[in-house]
Order: sequence, then C-alpha cells, then structure tokens
Amino acid sequence: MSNQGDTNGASAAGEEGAAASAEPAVVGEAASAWKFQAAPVAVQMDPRLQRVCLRRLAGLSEAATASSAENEVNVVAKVTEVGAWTERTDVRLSQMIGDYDGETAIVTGRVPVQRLENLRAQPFVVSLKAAQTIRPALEASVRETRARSEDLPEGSLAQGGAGVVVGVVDYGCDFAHQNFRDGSGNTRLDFIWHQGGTPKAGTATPSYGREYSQTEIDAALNQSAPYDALGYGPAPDSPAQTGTHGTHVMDIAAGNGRGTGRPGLAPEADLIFVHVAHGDIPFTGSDVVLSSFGDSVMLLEAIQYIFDKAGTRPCVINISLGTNGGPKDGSTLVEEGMDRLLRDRPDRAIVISASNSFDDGIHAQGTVADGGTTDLIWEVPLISNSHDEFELWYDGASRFAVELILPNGNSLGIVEPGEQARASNDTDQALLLIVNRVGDPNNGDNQIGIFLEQGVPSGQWTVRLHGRRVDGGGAFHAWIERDNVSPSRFAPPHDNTHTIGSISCGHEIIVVGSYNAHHAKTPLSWFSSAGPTRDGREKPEISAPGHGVVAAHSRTGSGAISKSGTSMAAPAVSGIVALMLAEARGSGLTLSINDIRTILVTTARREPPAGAGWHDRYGHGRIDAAAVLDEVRRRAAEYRKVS
Amino acid sequence: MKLKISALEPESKITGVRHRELDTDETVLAIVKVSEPDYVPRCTRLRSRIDRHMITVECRYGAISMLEVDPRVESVALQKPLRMID
Repeated sequence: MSNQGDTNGASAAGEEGAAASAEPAVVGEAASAWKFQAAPVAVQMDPRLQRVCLRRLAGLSEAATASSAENEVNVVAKVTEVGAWTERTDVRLSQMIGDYDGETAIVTGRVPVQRLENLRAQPFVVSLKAAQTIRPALEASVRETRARSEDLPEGSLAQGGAGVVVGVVDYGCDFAHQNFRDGSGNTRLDFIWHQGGTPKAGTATPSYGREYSQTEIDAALNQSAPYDALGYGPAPDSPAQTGTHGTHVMDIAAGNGRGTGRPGLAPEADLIFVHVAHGDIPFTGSDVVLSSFGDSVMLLEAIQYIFDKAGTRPCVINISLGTNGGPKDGSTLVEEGMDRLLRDRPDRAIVISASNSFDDGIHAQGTVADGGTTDLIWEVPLISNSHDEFELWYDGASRFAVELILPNGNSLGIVEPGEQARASNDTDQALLLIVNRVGDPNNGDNQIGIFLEQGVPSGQWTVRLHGRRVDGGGAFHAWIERDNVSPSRFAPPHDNTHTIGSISCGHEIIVVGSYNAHHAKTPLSWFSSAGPTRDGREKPEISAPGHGVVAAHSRTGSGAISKSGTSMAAPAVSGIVALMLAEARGSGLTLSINDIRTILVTTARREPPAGAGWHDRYGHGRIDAAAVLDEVRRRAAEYRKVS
Repeated sequence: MKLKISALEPESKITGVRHRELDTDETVLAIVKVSEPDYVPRCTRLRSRIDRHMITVECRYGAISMLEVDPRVESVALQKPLRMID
C-alpha cells in the first residue's frame, strides 16, 4: 500500500497535545528560511516511530523487511486488553509475548505507518515502540480461498487455468523470476507490452511503445543479464519501493511457485503483461514524481491489446488503477469502453481492486435545500507538497452555486452554474480553479470541481453550496482526489461509504475488496474501500485476501515479499476466474460476463460478512474457488442434459 | 486572492477538467463516442477502435473545439491520470 491519509491520526495527534493545533502557515513560506516547526505527530510517541511518521508526511516510504510489508513497521506494545489488540484489522501478525500479568501484557505486530498514531491513541495501549523483526509464519491466499488442488472438485478440468490468458495491466514485470518460467526455464509470458518503451524499428503494431514477444523474452533469459538483454526489466528496489507491484500481482494470480515454493491461483495460465504508461500531457507536481501513473486512454488500449492477443482463448484481465473522483456511476467513457469490450465476446472478464481509501476521509454526501446552503469543510494539510482536488456530483435537474471560503474566514466569491473561476497571486501564478459545470454529456448530471495549487493557505477551507434550484431532493456526493504525498480530506466525522475507485463503477467489471486471511475471523482490511456506486449498484461484488500477501519479489530470481492492499486481493479473484474459465472451456461451456459475476457472487462464503445480502465492503462475501468450480460443473451437467 | 469568473461552454461534450490550461498545440489523447458507426473525426488520429461507436484518438488540444461542434461526436473524454491502487 502507498501512503494513504490517516483520518484518525490527526485527532490522535490533537489529543496528545501535538502541533495539530498550531497556527496554520502559508505553505511555501517555510522554504525561505530554516526554522523549527512543530512536528504534526504525537509527541508522546516513541521517537523512532515519530521519525517514521514524519518520513511518511514528507512523502518517503518505509522499505519492506523480511516480515513487514512496505510502509509497515514492526512494533512491540504494552496493552491492557490483549483481545482489543489482536482483533484490530490494522495490526497484522499480532502475537502475545509471555503471559498476561493481570493488568497488562506485551504484544507484537506489524502496523501500517499511517495507523501508528491512531493505534498509539487507543486507551488500551499503554506504550508502543518500534520492535525488532520477528519472522512470521505466512499463510497463502490459495489455502484461504479453497483453491488448493485438494480443495477443488474431484475430476476438475480447471488444470490450473491452462489455456486461459491472465492479463495484467500494471508496473514492473519481472519476466526472469522463476515463478513465471516453465520447467525448461522458458518464459510463460506470451507478450510484454511496455507502453512507454521505445518502438522497435520496422514494427507497426502496437502503434506505440515496445512489445516483447515470447521468443525475445526467451532469448534474453538465456543471457547472463536478461533485463539488459531485453531492454526491459522491473525497477530495482529503492527506499520508495521494495519489489515491483506488477510482479507481485501477477504471481498472486498465476505464478507457478517454481521460485518461491508457493504457487498462485492459476499456475498454468498463459500470461500477458502490459506495463502501463501515461500520455503526452505532462502531469505536474511532486505527487506525480512520487507516484506510478497510468491514464484512462492508454488503459483502455492496454485492455483491448490483451483481448486481441488472447484471440479465442478465454481471458481475464487484472487492473489496479484508479483515483477517488469521478461521477461514480459507471458513465465515464473508460468504464463504458470496458463494458463494451466485455459485452463483445463471452469468456472475458476484467477484475479491478476496490481501492484502499476507506479510512482516508475522502467522501462526503448530503443535500442542499432550495434557496438554502450546505457547507463542506475541506482540510488542507500544514505540509502540502502537491495540489489538492475536490469533485462534487449532483442531479442534472438541480442547480447549485459554489462559494469558496478561505481558512481565515474570507469568502473568495460565488461561482454560478455554468461558470468557472480562477485566482492567481500577485505574480500571476495560478492558485486555484473552480469549475461549476452543468449537463455532463454521459449522464446529464452536474459537476463542481475545485483545484488548489501548492502554496495556498493550509487549514480548513469551506465549500459552501447554494441551492439555486433544487429538484428531486438536492442530494450530492463529493470526493477529494487521491494524493499520496500530503493528502487533504474532509473534516471528521467521515462518511466512508462510496469510496471505491473512479474506474471501479462500470456495469460489467468485477470489483474486489480485501480482508485479512491471517486472522481466523477473516476481518476486513482497514483500508478496503466501500461501495455502493453513486447510482446505488452493489460494488464491490466480492472480496479476497489482500492483507500481508507473500508473493514474488522482483529482481530476486526466486524470492518473495509481503504486500497489502486491495490490489493484492484482486489478483486472487482474477486467478480463480481463470480457473472458472478453464473449467468451463473443458466442459464445453461459454460464460458471459454476467454468468461469471453470478457464479462468483452466488458461491461466495459468508460469516463474515454476517447475515445475508450485499455488504458494502465484503461485497456478496469471500470468494470460494472450490464452490465456483462446483457451480461451473453443475451448469455444465445441466447444459449437457439440455443439449 | 481574487476570483476571475468566466462562462463555460454550455452543454459541452468534453469531459476531463484540467487544473492547468493547455497550449493549443499540445497533443492530447481522448476516448471518443460517435453516433455513426466507424466514424473517425477528421481532426484526430485514430489510435484504436474499441467498437464501431467508440475509439481512442490523439489530436491537438486546439482541435477539441472542432469535436465539440461535430454532430457525429456524442462525447469526448480527455485522458485522465490514474494512479496505482497499491
């Protein structure tokens, strides 16, 4: 997971008397001279943990260790309630050391950096300190999802997903890792398309980037320096990233375990990897420098490329891209494009991670009365190294004006529907843009966007909505855009519903939430975003293990590393969909995307989630590979009877 | 800080609000939905065909206004950055 904002962390800092209450400063002034600033981190925290928190606020990440994932630290704590510690979903691999003495106990665990302050503020935590690494026992997603060969139905035709293409749109494919090579050492990859690569002379397709064929990859694997030989490879480990995302994701879905000893869900599937890039418009700012970016147009082209290369073979594509904003009703053209590609042919699926924004304070909803006003409080952090972005959507029949009020209480003015407004400083440097747009061409709804550049005052901004004409209740939803460096958020209390990603609201795609398979009770991952879509559809559909998942570590040949996120959950579902498609193909069945979705959700396991019906984070339940294949076999038997 | 207010294009077909103004000669990528099967607007270069009514294209930012008035163009989505969901 990347550095996500911590909504509760701020209040924890305030409770402990830290600098959260200091006067807001105009960001940018600090650069003019060295001066001490009160650190916006709880002062009662262990100094080593304080340093980790400050590094996060500065946009730096913590490297993974043998037992902790990236941006996760090993801690030791003294607690008054052991159960309260072990039940928390933000504490992974919790363990009690020694005995409970009647008042306190010593416990250990792995905690995401952004949760440290929240955890320290809990009443049952007496002390919290950085700890030495303890090597944990690790569980595989395969076992919890009932996808081991001994769990699958007798006589299953899934054959590890043989004959099915698993496509991965991501970053950093380590084709040299043993988990992606067959018994002869040859690659299992059909193609790698590096969208940002330099085209090979004399090739016409794809029309940009660099495609590497299976023959080229195998030739490179026979060299002593395969990445140099191919001219492509995963980025080396760095303080900002340990193990590339795409290698880890592809291994969960379809690694064969030849290197790590732990196969993924569909170890016999064929593989296609697209290393996604973004287009020619330079997206600017430090947040971009520190982030991995794709873009909506090139994503759609990547999906089409994989489906084209798969040809008549069944194919599932795994995607871990998104943002917070958008209409969230599936009406964007990139979502509609994915829907069109999925409806075009059976035996195709696209699986997308739900997003990791549940606890980031990025969503607000409410109503505006006719002639009335409604305020939203937008907190811009003291340390702001990037621009901030706000997006609001409401019904096309109503008209809202928007007023922006500075942290010092001064109003900048009112922007009416159909207008936009810019503000600059004395040197004509843009500071903010407000767009109040009516009649979106794809859904007819209205949108208000506000962009704050670096250098605007930090503190609480007020977005005041004026109901100029309200028809149908005046309901709205608003989101704050993702920012991994210095995230802004709405003021608490937060409404964490509707936090799934911007491209995770399409009608046909399958969206996946995350839970912690290291706990016997398989609780939700604290970060796993919630549905539904803005138009009330049930997404995510399903959930899978995404917490502390150990999978291939790039540039190690055979090593593994732990990572957490809904993007570790999605490939588990992609792998199981590959098994489903292989079973169906072996049985002579074709499956539409609606068939695939229906099989996944009707076979999902409950408890958790409790009760019946859709859950806004687990979806319809936890995926069950064995039950999925049973259902395909049942349908195949029925099909044979009828035909 | 003072706001300079201006009018937006009413009922625009273009989505993808930008926080900075682009130069007219900058190349942009877009997803375009068209009402006539296989139609490719003249001011664009076809990149890929999703189906007969949806294409991806590149064009000069300055040419976007031509798409706005093209009756065979239903909707245009300018490229939008997407981050990794870790």
